[in-house]
Amino acid sequence: MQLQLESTDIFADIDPRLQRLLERKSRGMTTVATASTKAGEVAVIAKVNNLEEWQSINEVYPGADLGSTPIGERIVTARVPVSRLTQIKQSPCVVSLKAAQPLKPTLNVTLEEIAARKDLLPQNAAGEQGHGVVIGIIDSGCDFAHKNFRHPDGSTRLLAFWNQDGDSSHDSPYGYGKEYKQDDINQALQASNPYAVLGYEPGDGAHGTHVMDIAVGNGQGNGIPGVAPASDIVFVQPSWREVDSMVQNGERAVQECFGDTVLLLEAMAYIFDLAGDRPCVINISLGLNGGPHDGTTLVEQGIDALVTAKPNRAIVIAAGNSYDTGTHASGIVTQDGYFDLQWEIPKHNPRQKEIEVWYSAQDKFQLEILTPDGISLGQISLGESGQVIDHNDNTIMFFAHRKSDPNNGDHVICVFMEPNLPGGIWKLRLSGVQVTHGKFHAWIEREDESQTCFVPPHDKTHTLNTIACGYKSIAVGSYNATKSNRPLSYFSSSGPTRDGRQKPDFIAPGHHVWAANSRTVTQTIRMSGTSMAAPAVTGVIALILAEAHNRNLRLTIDQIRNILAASTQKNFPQPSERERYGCGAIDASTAVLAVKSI
Amino acid sequence: MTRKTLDLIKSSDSRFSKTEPNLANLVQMKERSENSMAVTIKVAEPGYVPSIVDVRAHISPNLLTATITEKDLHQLEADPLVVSLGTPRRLHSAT
Repeated sequence: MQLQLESTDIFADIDPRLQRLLERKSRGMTTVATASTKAGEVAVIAKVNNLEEWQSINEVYPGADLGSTPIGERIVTARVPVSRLTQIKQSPCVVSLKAAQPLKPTLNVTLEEIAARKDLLPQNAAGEQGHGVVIGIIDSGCDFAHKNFRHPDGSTRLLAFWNQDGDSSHDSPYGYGKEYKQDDINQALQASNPYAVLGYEPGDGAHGTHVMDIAVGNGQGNGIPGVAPASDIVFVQPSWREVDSMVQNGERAVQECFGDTVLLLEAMAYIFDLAGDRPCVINISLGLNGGPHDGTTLVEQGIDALVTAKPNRAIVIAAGNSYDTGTHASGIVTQDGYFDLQWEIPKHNPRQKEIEVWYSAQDKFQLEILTPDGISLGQISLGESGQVIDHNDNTIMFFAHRKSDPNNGDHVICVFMEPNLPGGIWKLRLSGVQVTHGKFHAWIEREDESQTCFVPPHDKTHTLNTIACGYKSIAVGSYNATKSNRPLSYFSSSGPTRDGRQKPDFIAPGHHVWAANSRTVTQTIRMSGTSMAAPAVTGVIALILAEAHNRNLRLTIDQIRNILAASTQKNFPQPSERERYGCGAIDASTAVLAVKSI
Repeated sequence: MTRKTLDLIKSSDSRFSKTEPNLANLVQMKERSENSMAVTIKVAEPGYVPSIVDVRAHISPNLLTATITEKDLHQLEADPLVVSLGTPRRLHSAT
């Protein structure tokens, strides 16, 4: 075996153990979660020369302030994302950065921040904290046994739970999976192992349990309720099996599976059907990167149709966490000129990869693929598709240069790459054959734990979750309510949509949120993401709908959005980033008050 | 990697003008397969259901989910009342 020493471009002036983490990350490996850190995070100990500046760094989740050095520097602990170590180390206030320890706040930060705590809501509010409203959660990992989702008598607050991977029977929704009604769940809760009775395992630290608690937990387990603790719950666990059969070449979900867009549409239809005439809001803290980003995908058209079919309906979607991932690029292709989209792929990258490039129906581009060593693999014209075959006759790349998408008329180039292709910078050369506008946008699809990116500098706009670009859905970005300056979360995706509409619609606390931890009955766990911001808005909409319901009002989705928009707080310190916070931060108290005044 | 070990094979993409592009990849790889798959179908007339599909859910008068085999795609492509076909796209958590 030949061994070769290769230099890296990892920031050299940093603790060697942190350098090691960065090197592992560059190869698609991540840190695992511990009791105090999430996957992809590391606990650090730092020496800083300005405590306030340190604490205001967006990525820093502060731990302990351990005291002062003789020259006035502070020794502090924190948890930070491995992906941001270099930026944090380069901050002027950081003197040194090494490995260290934890600390914790709770969901009450969210409740206070958005004025959703019971004592902060308007007096004489008739909504009774969401009573009479159905909150639907489509997510992975429903811990129905956690006390936050049970009544004081121990019975379940779930009206129904559809496990799309459960055993199918004649009465399965849409012919598949297993639906558990309230009685089934209550019966299971009598057993010493309720999960075994239902044949369902939510897993530890489940995403869906955490999300559900923010929106609708009652705090019976840990003492801190969610935003709408009196609402009823319907949970849908997306199928893994269905998705798995669609994934090529054996690539599997890395940890959890969150379903696909067809399953998602059926889950939404199921929840609204089950709610009947009751007010209902659905939370979707799921998403993907690739797509037209103009609200025209069929899943977005489906969402728009579902929420406009009846009043008192809403669907809330996480805006996405792709602001800082380098997965979006844009540019202009000129007539007879070209633009090189440079795609950086690490060596030994283990995942299948996809890119989509969308451009105007008025233009005609040609695609050429160049390998990292500069060799052209050929050209693909508009209307053609192609595949690259290796010497073993395996398809290692597939290209589709599709003319006139049926939903929006635009052209799209899709590139699919199999795992373990040579690392380096691959170029997708876009040449202008017939150009009127020339503008294009490109997105790299999400690749959990081994995300590839475009070569910097990155265009961080248009980084929204694809399914959050619809006309009638409500997209939610994240900010950090644990910081005194309330910064936007460094990950929170930016609008606008590709057709120029403002998204996300709102922002909510989604950074360092403590909420129910599955398989613990009473405990909480910290998570960050627009996944955690969306359910705060879902809960507020439940409060609005409950207030309206008690006043015999029926609200359309446009009215719901307008009430939210009129009640937002707009005093944010980053006005230049309007494309990331939409109408601003939600305020439950003002929103409920607005319903009272209708 | 050199040009000698790789070949680019091109074809006309006109067969699937109504389907989302990720499906083209799937079909390319499973052309002869009888495997069934879930799709979203948008139709031009409210309530219209292509006779060859096995309906899963009606999302709206013009939108339904259905199970089809990959060879059914060709017939749906040729159906003038089918506007577009959406294929399953895998979702990820926003955490």
